[in-house]
Amino acid sequence: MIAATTSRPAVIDLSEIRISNRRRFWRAFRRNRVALLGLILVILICLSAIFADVLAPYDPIEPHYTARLQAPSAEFPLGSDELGRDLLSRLLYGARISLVIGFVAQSVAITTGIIIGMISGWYGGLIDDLLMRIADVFFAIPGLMFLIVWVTIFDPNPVSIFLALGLISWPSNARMMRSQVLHLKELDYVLAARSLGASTPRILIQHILPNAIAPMIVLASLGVAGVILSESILSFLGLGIQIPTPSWGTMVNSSRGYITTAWWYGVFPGLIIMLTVLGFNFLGDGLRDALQPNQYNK
Amino acid sequence: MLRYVSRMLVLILVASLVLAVPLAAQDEGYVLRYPISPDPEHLNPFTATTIAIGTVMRNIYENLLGLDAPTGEFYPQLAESWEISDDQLTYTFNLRQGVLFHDTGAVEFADGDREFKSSDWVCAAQHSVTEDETQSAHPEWLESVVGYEEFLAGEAEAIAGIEAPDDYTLSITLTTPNRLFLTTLGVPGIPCEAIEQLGEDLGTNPVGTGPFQFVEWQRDNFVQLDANPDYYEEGKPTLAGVRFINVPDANTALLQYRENQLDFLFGFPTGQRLAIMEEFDAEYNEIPGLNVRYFGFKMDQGFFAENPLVRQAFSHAFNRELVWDELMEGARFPATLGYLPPSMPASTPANIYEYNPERAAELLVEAGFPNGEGLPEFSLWVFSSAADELSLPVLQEDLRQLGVTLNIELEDATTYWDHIGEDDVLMFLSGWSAGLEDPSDVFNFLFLEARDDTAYDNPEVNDLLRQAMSEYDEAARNELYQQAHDLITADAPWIVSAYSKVSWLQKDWLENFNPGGGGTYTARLADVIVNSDMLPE
Amino acid sequence: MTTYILRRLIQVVPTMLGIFTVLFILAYLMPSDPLRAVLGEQYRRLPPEVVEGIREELGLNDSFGERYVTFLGQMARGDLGRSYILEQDVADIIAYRFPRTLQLMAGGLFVALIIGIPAGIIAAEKQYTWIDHALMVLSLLGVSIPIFWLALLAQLTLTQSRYGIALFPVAGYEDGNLSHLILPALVLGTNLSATLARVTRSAMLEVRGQDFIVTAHAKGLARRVVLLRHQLRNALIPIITIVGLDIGYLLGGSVVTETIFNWPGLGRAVVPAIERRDTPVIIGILVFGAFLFVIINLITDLVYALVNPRIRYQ
Repeated sequence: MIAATTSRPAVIDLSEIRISNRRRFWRAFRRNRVALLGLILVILICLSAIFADVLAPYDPIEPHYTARLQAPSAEFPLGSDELGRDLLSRLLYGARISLVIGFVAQSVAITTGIIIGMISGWYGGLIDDLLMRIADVFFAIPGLMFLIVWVTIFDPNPVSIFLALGLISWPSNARMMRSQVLHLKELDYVLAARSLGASTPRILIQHILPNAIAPMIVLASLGVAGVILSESILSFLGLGIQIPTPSWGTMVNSSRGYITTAWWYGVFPGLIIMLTVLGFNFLGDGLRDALQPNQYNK
Repeated sequence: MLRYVSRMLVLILVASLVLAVPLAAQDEGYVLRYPISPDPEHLNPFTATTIAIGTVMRNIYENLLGLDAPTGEFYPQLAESWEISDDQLTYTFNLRQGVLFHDTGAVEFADGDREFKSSDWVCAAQHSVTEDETQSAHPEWLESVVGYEEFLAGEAEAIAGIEAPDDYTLSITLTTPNRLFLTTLGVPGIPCEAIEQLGEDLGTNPVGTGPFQFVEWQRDNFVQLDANPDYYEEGKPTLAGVRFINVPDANTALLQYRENQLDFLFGFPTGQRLAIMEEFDAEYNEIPGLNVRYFGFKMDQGFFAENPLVRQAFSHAFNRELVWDELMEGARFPATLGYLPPSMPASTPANIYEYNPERAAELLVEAGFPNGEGLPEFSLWVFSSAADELSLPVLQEDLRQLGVTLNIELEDATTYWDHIGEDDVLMFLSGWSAGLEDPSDVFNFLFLEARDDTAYDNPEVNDLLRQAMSEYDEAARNELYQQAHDLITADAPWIVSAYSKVSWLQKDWLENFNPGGGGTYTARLADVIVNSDMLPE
Repeated sequence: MTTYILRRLIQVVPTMLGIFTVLFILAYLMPSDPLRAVLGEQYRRLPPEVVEGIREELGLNDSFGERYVTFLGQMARGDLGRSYILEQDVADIIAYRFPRTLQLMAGGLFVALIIGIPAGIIAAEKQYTWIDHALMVLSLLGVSIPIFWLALLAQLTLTQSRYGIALFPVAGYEDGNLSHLILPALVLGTNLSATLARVTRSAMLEVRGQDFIVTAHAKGLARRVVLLRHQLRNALIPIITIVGLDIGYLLGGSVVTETIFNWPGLGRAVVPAIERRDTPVIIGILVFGAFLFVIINLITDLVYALVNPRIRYQ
């Protein structure tokens, strides 16, 4: 299932995915060079975000009026912007915003999706109907437009952006989780646990969740990519998190005027968004392949 | 199934092509391609409030008198001549004869050609006086006319002060002398039938008497006007028409101008100004503008109200020249004089706040905050479209040198305009565009009786400004404004940042495009001439 | 069958009600002082009573309950209201803009199908070869490119003789002139073509293993015939599903594409309406977009039910 957000995970059917055998999973994952590349990209970007203050050669918001719009050089590895701020430093700090938004918003979406999906799938009936209709509602509302209205109302601060992105991406997660639960709850071992008198929360957490988690991990990885893209679009439209915090999308937006005179200013932020998103997509894609062993056996 | 899908696709494509009916070929003659941003909200003269609407409408509708932007003089439009009584209370207009309304088909007239008459003007005047703001947003047009209040309250059938003794004469009587009455008299020449027949659609079917008439409006795309074939001024307009092309983004406009898809470029993308001036050297034009940009202080309460020396210190600390001459590549003039655009009378106060960081540091010591010690952190509120204005980081840095911490709070425009009037906002970035080269058009809106968000209210200044309003002698009036300006400067309610420049590119085959300091939109497009020798191809 | 259709139709009612409610709450919370929003610094020229009078006329001073009831009533009658600023009915705004957005969406979809489906078929045919890997990496690249960045680069290099070649007009829209459509359609379609390539690939692989394909091959049918007649035809269902679900994406993507290319469609209206605090326009467009999505998915579901009787009894 694909979310009607601003960007979509590149996956359709995850329902067959299981973590059945860890060793086989790793073997398959390692064999997949693209997935490894994705993992490396993601790790690199995470590290550079975490150690931004160590790695950055300059303060990301400190201007150097005498060194404005400098081309990449030893002094400014990726060049400088219209105020003489170091682009590399800004990109490094910008990674923090993008990743935090990506991870937090996606955690909100995945957690909400898992909880609602579990309740919906397990109890069925009226509750299921109600929850799925709510999911339909958020599924149908055009995601980017919703986001734009949301930040107008609640200000484009990180918390409101987490919530909004979470709100528009949970329905697809919930549907996936629900279909997993529907499938799992009929399986023998769950029926056995039920007949032994295990409590519902216990069954859900101990028996259902571990077996349903694999596709959710794949969804989450692809979802992070989608969320990062959405945030950059929002920033590009001038509605994202405000200065002086350098967000990648904002940098592309403010580089528009300089694209012909200072190509590096627009090109590097765009590239870094693409690489980050690509990393998560590679990773998610590789995870899916590795978790779906029968595809390689076909 | 495949065949079905491909058929559907072909169908969709064909449908989208059919939806698109090609425009008829243009008549011979040059159609001006005029970039406009944003797209006009509507074209209803009674509720018109924005520059975008005005840009288009001033070519379609005319008033009794026109105001020539470069000279600031009135010239006859619908009224051929006018007289003002000695007591400044009665205005008599002799209307031009034989002026025909545009024949656009939107309004049905009883007999073919429809001539503009005094009754049309009375009709429009009455329509403009209403309690319903969605019908008319311009009480200032006729507020000072005798009988305005009674008509507004529904107690009178007509506005007593407006008389039309015959088809070509109008006389208007005011309750008190109003020096700016002619300037604000915006009642358009529109047929009574349009107001009666169009109702809600008045805003999409303009019918006037101007040099150009309405043809088509594709929202967010273009407004097409054609030359009015019956225009009363002989030989005008020489253009075949004007197409106002909506291009919201300055970068895109530049790309289009460069590829000869637009005739003008009015806004320069930040950071490309010098490069553009170099690339289009011969096509660059510039005149001083009427906008003032400033950082305002809250003057009725809070820290700045109580610490005039700190306000002065900040004014001295700000390096305007660095911002505007260097970083912003001359986009505006650094405000080194006073609170008025430099082209206005009385624009140089006795005392100015030049960039002088040492003086600023001394003033802080005098105020009891040496090196900023003991000062709270300040917040500067800014509307988000000014986020990339480099005055912000520079001011921040200049104040940091003084030991002052300034935080920048961005808000989107609407929230911002609502918010800065509140008590928690002590400092904000703002601006003001005067419409006339007259100090009243700045002072009356920004320094009179706490009208502005600074809440600046100095009884002495108020008195001077009110006196000046009814002073018809120019020299005496300017003297009053000079005194007011000196008092205001001494109070330092703003850090003045910059005065605007009106600058634009125009293709070199265009001549006679003459805007005033109010902005490029004030140019009369009926005057524009195309030099066909210069045309490419 | 009739009960299924009825049930599916009835389901639309609570969904739409939910959509109306969510959007009404947004509309209610939306800070709206339309005149101030439009006028900026020049609002100081208007007397305060005009600004306040407008609020009263527009009903913005009414209570939550009153406005909710009015809103639901309007929606039930299919009345989307009137713009605060544009002196136009929202329905007229949509009627003017939607066909233009539809052209762009159709163009984008066309690009996506033309690139995506052949790429997917080739990748599936050449499974696990370098071609397959290259195509799939390329398609992930396509999904990962920020659409606005791609648009800006394309605009610079393909419309400017100074920086590339002036193949297309920079921006804008002209009735019946396809040259304006090509660039935005390419940009809008790139992302979707990448998704479609992946979906097509996996669907083709799925079908390939099935008996009837094996039989077709065994019967000695030409490879191309099997591929297109049998394999692709049966792989179309997931492809169509994706296209249906991607209406939302195309509509969202149109905000960026239309803004950059000055395309007078629905998406282009959103950001200015936000800046003007023109709530009826924003909400009207959102209602319309959501409604479109619901209807298209309803149709998709019903078509499935017709094609595949098993679904009806699920």
